[in-house]
Amino acid sequence: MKCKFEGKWRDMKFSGTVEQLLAKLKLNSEIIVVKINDDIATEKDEIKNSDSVEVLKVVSGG
Amino acid sequence: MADCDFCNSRAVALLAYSNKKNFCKKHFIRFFEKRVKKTIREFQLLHGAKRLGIALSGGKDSLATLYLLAPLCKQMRVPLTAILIDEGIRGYRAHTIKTAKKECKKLGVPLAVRSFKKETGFSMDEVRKKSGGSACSFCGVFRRWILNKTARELKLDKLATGHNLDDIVQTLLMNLARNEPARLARFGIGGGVIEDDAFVDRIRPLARTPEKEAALYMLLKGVSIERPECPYAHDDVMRDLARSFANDCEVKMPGTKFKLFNSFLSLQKELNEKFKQKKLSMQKCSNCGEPSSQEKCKKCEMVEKLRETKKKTI
Repeated sequence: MKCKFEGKWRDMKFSGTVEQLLAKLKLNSEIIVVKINDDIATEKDEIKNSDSVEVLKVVSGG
Repeated sequence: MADCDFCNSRAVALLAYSNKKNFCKKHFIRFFEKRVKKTIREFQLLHGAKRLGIALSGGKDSLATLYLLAPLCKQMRVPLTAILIDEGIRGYRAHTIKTAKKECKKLGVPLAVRSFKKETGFSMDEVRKKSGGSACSFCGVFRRWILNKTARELKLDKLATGHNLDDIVQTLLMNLARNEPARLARFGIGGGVIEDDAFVDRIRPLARTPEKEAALYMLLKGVSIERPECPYAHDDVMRDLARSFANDCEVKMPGTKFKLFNSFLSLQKELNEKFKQKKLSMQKCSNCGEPSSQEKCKKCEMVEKLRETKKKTI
């Protein structure tokens, strides 16, 4: 799975839900929006190992 | 992929606190906008406004507020002006200034830009260097001073800010943790901190809107939310702690932020009674002429302190 976080793409082995990915990355879903293959996803959406995932941080202030 | 609980289209938002949890793009936008309009009605935020301003940073919250207020103001025939403040933080503000200008042009909203450097003599980078790590208190005071002064210059009746549910909950927790409940008595969703003609009322249309949903709303409107974090954001340790606590509670017990907010509203009447302040006699700052409860306003006090630090280091 290709995963983009904090502006950097990296390869990682993962399949499961968005919720599970965030737990693996130790991120709170309240401050994150996730896109799977460029579509906004919810916490219950499934990620396949072949997917491209973007993890966007909700920056406070403004 | 989950389906929308309203129409079976693909869901883009899961609102765990809500009875119907899964929302597609169309139903989320509708839900979001309806809630903000309800907040505006509930607190009568636009009541009596003939000229409205919006404090626009170019971030997701102030942009969401702009997107919601611009068509409303057009409908109500109330002129809307945006005020943007450039704090002078290298590598941070330039991006959002560009976004703010672009969105104002798109929505036909005039934009007034002010800078810390021009208004106070110091950029935030300079303040941080001199203050030795407590940038947030200076930033808050300077920002509010410039916003109020500019709003008055532009003859605005009310000034909307992008403060959201998360901001309000964090402020609530911080004031309780610091044993400063009196501050909560003065904190409002609409209206001024102090009743005085020199202060332009501030309103918070996003008061019932979670921060993440403001981000999602802007993404669905086609506006990128990617931006650098303020490099000085973590100077305020207490706010960071309050934020983490509120977010952890919300994930484990959805709806906690709304409950905290509602608790605050129900207590506010009692707080107002208990901490009823003697009417402050406002005067004009002996230095800048802006409203002040003391001989010199807080902004001028802070600028003087920074200038003294400058002299000592030369």
